[in-house]
Amino acid sequence: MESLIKHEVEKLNVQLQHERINKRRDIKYYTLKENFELSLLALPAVILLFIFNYMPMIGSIVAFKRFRPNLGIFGSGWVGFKNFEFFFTSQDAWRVARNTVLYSFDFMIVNLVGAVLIAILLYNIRNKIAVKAYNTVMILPKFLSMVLIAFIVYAVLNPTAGVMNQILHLFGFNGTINWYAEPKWWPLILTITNLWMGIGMNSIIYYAALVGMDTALLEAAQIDGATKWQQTRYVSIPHIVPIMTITTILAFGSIFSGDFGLFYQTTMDVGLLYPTTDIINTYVFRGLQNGNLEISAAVGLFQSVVGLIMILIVNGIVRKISPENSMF
Amino acid sequence: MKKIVLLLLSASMLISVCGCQTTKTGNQEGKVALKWIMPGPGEQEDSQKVWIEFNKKLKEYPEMENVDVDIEVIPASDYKQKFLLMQTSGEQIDLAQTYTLNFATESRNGVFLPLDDLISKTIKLKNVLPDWEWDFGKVDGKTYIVPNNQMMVSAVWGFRTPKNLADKYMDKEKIQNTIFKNKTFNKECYSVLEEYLDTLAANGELRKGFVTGTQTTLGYENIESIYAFNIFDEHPKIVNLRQTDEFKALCEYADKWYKKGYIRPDILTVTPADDYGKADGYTLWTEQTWKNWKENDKSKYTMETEPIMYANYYYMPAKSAAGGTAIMATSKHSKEALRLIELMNSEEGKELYNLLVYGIEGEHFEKVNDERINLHYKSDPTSSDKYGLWRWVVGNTYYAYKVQTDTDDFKDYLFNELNCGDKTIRSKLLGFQPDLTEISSKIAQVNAVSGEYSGSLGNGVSGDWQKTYQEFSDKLEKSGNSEIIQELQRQVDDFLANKK
Amino acid sequence: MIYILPFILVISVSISSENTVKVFGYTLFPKVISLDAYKSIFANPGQILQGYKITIMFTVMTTILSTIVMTLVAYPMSRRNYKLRNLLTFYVFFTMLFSGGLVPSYIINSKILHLDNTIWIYIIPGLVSAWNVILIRTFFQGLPESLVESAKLDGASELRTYFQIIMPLSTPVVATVAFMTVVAKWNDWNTALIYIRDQNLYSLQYLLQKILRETEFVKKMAAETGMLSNVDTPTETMKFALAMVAAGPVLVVFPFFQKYFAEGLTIGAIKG
Repeated sequence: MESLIKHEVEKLNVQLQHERINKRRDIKYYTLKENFELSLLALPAVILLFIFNYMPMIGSIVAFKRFRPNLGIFGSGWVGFKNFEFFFTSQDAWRVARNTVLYSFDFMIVNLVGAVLIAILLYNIRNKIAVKAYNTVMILPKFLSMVLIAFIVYAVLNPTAGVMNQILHLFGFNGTINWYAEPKWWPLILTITNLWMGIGMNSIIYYAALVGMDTALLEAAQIDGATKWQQTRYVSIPHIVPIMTITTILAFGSIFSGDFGLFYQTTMDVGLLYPTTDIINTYVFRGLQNGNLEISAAVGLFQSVVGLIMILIVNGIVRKISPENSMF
Repeated sequence: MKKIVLLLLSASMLISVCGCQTTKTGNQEGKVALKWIMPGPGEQEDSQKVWIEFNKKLKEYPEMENVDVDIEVIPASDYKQKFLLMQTSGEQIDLAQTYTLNFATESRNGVFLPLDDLISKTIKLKNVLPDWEWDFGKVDGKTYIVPNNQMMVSAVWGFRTPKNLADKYMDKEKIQNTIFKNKTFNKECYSVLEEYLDTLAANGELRKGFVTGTQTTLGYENIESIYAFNIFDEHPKIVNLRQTDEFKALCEYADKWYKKGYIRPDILTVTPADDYGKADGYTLWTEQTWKNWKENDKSKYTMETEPIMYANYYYMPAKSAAGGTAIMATSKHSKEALRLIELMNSEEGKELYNLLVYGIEGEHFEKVNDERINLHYKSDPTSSDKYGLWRWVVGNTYYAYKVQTDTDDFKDYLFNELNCGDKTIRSKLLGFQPDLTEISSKIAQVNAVSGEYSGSLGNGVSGDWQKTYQEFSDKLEKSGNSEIIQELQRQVDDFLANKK
Repeated sequence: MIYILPFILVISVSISSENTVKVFGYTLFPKVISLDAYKSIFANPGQILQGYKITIMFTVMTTILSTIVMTLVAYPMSRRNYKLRNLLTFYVFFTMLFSGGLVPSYIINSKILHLDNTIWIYIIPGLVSAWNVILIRTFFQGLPESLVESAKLDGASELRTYFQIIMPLSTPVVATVAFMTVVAKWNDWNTALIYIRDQNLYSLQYLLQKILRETEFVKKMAAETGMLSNVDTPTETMKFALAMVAAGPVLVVFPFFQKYFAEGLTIGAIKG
């Protein structure tokens, strides 16, 4: 049975692919007129990006200067790589970099799986009102400031009055766990919190993709006797693979960065937890109490460059596997 | 067709935006416009009204007939950042108050105008403050700000404990004498406190126990970050506050007390102030202890408290938190700017100063007598109040009217007893401003490390405190601790040598 | 269902009285009901209402303009035969990673363009979000080429194709991106912090945050400078009440967007 459905879907996919390949073969690039018109359409965005994103980028050179506000960016003197010293010569650089990258991977995978799962579940619910209700509730965390979320976590994990410990008591667990004094729990705690925060909005994207899917394929599979699960696996998921790929590639761009609010506020900035919760962003913030602009610019530049390299690498890999899903 | 319309739309959008020029009132013929920025509660409902009145009255003073002042009050929490941005964008500012700013760095960078020349030409301003107070505005021997005259001594701290418990179980005289004798909070002081805590525990009155405060820094003056020196040393010697015997004593006792249960298990995540002075709160905590500590406590707490003083003297550190008013190097009207500062700080401009701080008589306050007024709003004005600025930002608080929260003798207390009294010890380093440019990244690293360990060690939560302490110390060294101490010491030595 | 619990917590704490929270901690059901937190926030109703007005205005304007501009640029990016496709994609994507930081943006926005202290500062700089553009592009790419081809055969210009073919089919993604823009703009308090001086132009979130930060700052200052602080505003419960005030309107608006997700036109229907 399964193989039959698989076969059907494969047939359809092959068909689509043939269409594409044929197009590619006798592609002459668009005529000049068409290219021009397309360019015109892109113009507003290009101008906006130039003014508001590219022009300010010149400011990144602050990372190599000793910045004096009264001399401005161009008047301040060059100091080469001195501003990078703070981070790279610090003994904790390795630890925070490791934390940052691990968390980024962790969040990337967990959030992707979670969001896709929820999207599929929602898609399969008949009751429109229920779907709306769930959706609305799930995006709520987006509106809570990080301080608030940290509070909620605190309410749950409070060593004396917290909900979590009360639940543990119910299960006959003796004594209380002082969550805020044990570094080892925090990767889990932060992952769950991050998932809770983002799943609403993230799943909307995949849900919207599913909604735009051609239901004919689903119906065809259904007629062939496929179960819901099989339908999902062979029709729905492949349909959203492009989106999943893109969001993942893009996520690689911020691999050396993390959500400052999440790591700083939720942990209540408890020093004991730093071994597992200190990331590049929080580390730099703590060190620069006097707001040393150049140093944070230097670290930011580093994060961006590495992000770019990562994306290029990942994109290259994706291109080898299935070119139409790559960025470029 | 549609395409062209779209293009025109986006183009016109951009153009109209660029066309909106906000022109401020420039300098017309003969008129002088000054811009003054200061931290405060932000712009309020009646701000413009009061400032128009201010400018009107300003013209009645000699040399100010043609001057208009554009005041901008920026929320204090954003002040530092906004200041930076305004500078970078080249906005024309004349006067700036320096609270939350590192005015030493700015002065060294040439952002502020050296004022010595200008001040020497006006005797009035010079006499407004006693000589030693001018030191607060000096960087490398030159004056850059006119310090805001207010309380210059650092906060006076002390422990607190519930009065009923103290009367029953505490040997106050012994504890007090031990602390005064030792001058810094060392082992002996802790052991004497421990006796009290032991007694409490034995009688089941421990409640939330002990929470640490500022006692570790007793007897030290802080220079920068965690670097300080012992104020009783003949020649100031720079030390790392986390490497002192006093800190080690804290670690040892905190560890002991945490294990004994004298420190609550969730100490790291609670906000201590939440449980001060509560029936089931702490039994030993820290609080500011001014002369009026009793009234202060009464207004906050539900019980009577007994204080334990740290010091029987007042101390004036070289760092003044409040800052003062500076004139920007790019100002085109420094003479008028200085005259404005003079008015805000001297008897002559008293009425004007109070107008700016408190508002218009009848609308924002009622006059009780020549010295006192009744405000229509609370004494800490916020942006939702109709008007109100912070008097210690605007000028010389000596000339401010007394308000409801001021006792009748507060000026005498503040300016005579505190600032100039014989119980007041002045820092040997008045006028010293450390130059951190060479060691800034090392200090940043030290800050990061200290942030990680201080909390757990200081509250006794780390388990094996000696091992953790060693770890901490090693990390400090690797972050450049010795180099920082060396550099700061060198600067201090140079400063003192030049002072002679 | 566990999901809703934190939300109920937020509501309940926001209407609890400050003191019970301090004593009893957070509970799902308020022990003592008090609307003090809301009272403090709405102490100056005119200001808050103005904040709502401004925020609604710039949110709506941004969303409309932004959706147009972004879909406009995503369309060429999705056409494989477009000569400048890769160049354009890289141009857009690069801005996602690299930024010059606050200072140069401030100089450009304030000194050169004079956008500061106007409502436009909320709208114009943030019109193009690279991430969203790439998302839209991916969706567009999923639409079959044949549609575009047939439109071309009928002699339509690119713009026409965009309007009449691509857009109607893209309601899900457009609705998604539009909604995300609404959320982002609605929550924005940073812009006001840096660029706005005129009280009448403060965004809602900024006002709410300001109330919170002020209270905390005054408390901190009292501790530092030893001045008596008369401020006794409820900060704990306030934080939660603030969240409610902020989130309210958007949650009401959301179901409206929801409609568009669900109503994606199927390709099959168009083909027929």
